[in-house]
Amino acid sequence: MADDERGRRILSDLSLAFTRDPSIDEVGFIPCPEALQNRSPIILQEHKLGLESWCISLLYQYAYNELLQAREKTVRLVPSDLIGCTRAVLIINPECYTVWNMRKELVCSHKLDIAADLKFNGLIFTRQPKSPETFAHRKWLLVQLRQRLQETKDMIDAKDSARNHDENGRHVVGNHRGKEDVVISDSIVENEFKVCTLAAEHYSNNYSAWSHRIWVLQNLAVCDGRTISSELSKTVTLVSMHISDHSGFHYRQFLIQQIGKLNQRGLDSILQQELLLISDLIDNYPGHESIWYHRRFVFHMWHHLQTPKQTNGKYENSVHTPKQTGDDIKSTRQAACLVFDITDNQEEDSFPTNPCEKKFRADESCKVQLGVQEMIASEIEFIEKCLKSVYPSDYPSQYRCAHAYKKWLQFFYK
Amino acid sequence: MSYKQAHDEMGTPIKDVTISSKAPTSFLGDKHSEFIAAYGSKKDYKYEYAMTEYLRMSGIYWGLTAMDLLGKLHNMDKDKVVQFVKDCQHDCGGISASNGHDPHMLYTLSAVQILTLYNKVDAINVNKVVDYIKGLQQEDGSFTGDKWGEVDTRFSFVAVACLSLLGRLDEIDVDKAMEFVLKCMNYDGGFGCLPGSESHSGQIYCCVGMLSIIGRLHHINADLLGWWLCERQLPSGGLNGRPEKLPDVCYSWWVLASLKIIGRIHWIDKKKLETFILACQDDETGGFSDRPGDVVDPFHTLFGIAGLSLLGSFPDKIKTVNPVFCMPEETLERIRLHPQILS
Repeated sequence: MADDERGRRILSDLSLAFTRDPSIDEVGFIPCPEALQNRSPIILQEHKLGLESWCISLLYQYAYNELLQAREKTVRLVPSDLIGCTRAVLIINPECYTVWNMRKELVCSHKLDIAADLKFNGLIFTRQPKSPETFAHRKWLLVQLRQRLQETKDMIDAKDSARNHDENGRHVVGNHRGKEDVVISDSIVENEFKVCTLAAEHYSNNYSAWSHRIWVLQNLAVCDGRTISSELSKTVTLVSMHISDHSGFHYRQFLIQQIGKLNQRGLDSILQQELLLISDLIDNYPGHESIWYHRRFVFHMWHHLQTPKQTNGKYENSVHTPKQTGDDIKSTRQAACLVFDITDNQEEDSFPTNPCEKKFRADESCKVQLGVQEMIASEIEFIEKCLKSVYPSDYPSQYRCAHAYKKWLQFFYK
Repeated sequence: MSYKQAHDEMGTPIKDVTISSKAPTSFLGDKHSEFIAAYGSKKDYKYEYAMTEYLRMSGIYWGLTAMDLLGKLHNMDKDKVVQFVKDCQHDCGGISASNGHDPHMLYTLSAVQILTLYNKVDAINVNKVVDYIKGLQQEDGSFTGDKWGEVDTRFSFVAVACLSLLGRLDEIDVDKAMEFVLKCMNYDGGFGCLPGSESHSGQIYCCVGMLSIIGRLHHINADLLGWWLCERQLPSGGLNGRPEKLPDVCYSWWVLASLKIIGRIHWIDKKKLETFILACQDDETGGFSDRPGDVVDPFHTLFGIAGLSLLGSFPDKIKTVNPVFCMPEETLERIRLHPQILS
């Protein structure tokens, strides 16, 4: 009973903080195992909201039990209480899907504003940047937003068309736009990209954040050449600063594939530029699997360009089929360590040339013009150069990555 | 300079763990069953209980499957569990994670798996479960997780797994379901959560499992996918779920099970993986953690035990697991369910 009362008071302090400052932009827990006298555990400073750690379990259990009872209809909560309780639970435990659903119901009954809920949802990422349920709820909110905008637009269109009939006594073709899809404003799309960038920077290899960014491109943005180019140039800095972030590189792969699908002539020059970027990164930051994997993708696309299928010149997302079958491998090589040599395979007798020099740029400038065999040969040459340019013992990871790429090329493309 | 020193001193280490010489090297089966049995009765931790209640149904499936693989299912309170599952079925047919939570496809599968282990599927309204799942299939063949509309390849797996356990796979449009899953295949042979999304071992397991259940594994490029999956093995022997992530016992399961399904399990170093999984045991409390030395939980305990089963380790102490359903092979034998496995 005493705990309940304390929980209720902490919850009311939390709700007060949100009323007092509608611009809270960050939330976090403050390590503090015990309550300090006469002080609220909810601290608000410069739009940052802190919860002292001792209060977390009290607050959570109180708000969570209230919500469960409301769900089982043993307690009636007014919308403002529901908003307060769901907020408390989700700040602490954003994977609690039922509680997000309760907010969805509030949005559906117009008791909770979509924009306000998007803002609260975004706040969760400042503490839990990869929460899948938070991203799922966000997608739902964005779909609602799009539907509401569409309904408003349809209504205006219907009014316009009715007015045109009334005034002229007949239908004016020029003014009748018909049922078009609503265009989501750039600021909404930009805000989503901002949320994704923030989440991706807080947590590397953030699968949920980068998948969300792809979803936004596919579902909200106008996915044309202009948007894709802008995203490509925006993410150069991001991937260059987070060279171990495979999810970031995958996003660029997605963008490049979109260019292929749009049948843009620029694909080969994009691949060329990407290869330069990759070579520079491999040179400057040896031994990052993500960059090497990205190189495989560029090679795959580039190989695909050279050996097009009869599909009206469009790039299709087909997977290259190797000529060799699994049975061959079983018989030719023994299983363990087939792909990556886990045991030491470093050539101790090779020596670095000059690791600091930008040695690859010149060789890479016209690679995409090459035929398939030359292409493979030039990649092998690139790998050999990488292997020679560093001491194997200094960069075991660079060795591992370079060897793995070589084996992959030889297995799937020779 | 030794490999380890280079690893520690240079700027570009391989993201991996070092296994301490004190780490367990034998299988502590009895401790694990004690850990699982005690976990269910740990109700005094009210806060922890409330924090994890949103996945309770899956938690029970993990615990019971681990116990069954250890031959100790009889130690659990069958009647109580069956009653709990019954109480969690909603009018729409779907099943929730716990009382007071909303129905969701994920917990519907866990519930059906639990009841299949106990041979008590008739405790729930099966027709309603089938209708619930059918109702979540979309025009493009994909499935949403619940009525709120999130689409993910995980739900494609869950839908076909659940229906096949109930012997009702013919109730959905299987061709369309397959079409959607294949749209999520990437150039590296892997699968993501949606078309265009990055390959991810968890999603790969779901997509490969889904194609296995419907008998269409020929759509997979087994060499290409197998290659990517094998590259998840790190020098410590553990497997990660994506490039540049740390090894983890649960990913060891998802990667290993996928390799087993596509007939490429012999491509990894089994001995090293076994060493890694064994090192993730807690020799005091029992149970497995994600990585050596971390805190144990039922989720990693199931996947640790199931991983060892797939590797064929300790066959006298662990039953054979089915790589698609993560349930004892004998259970699937009983209901005559034989998902496709490539040789």
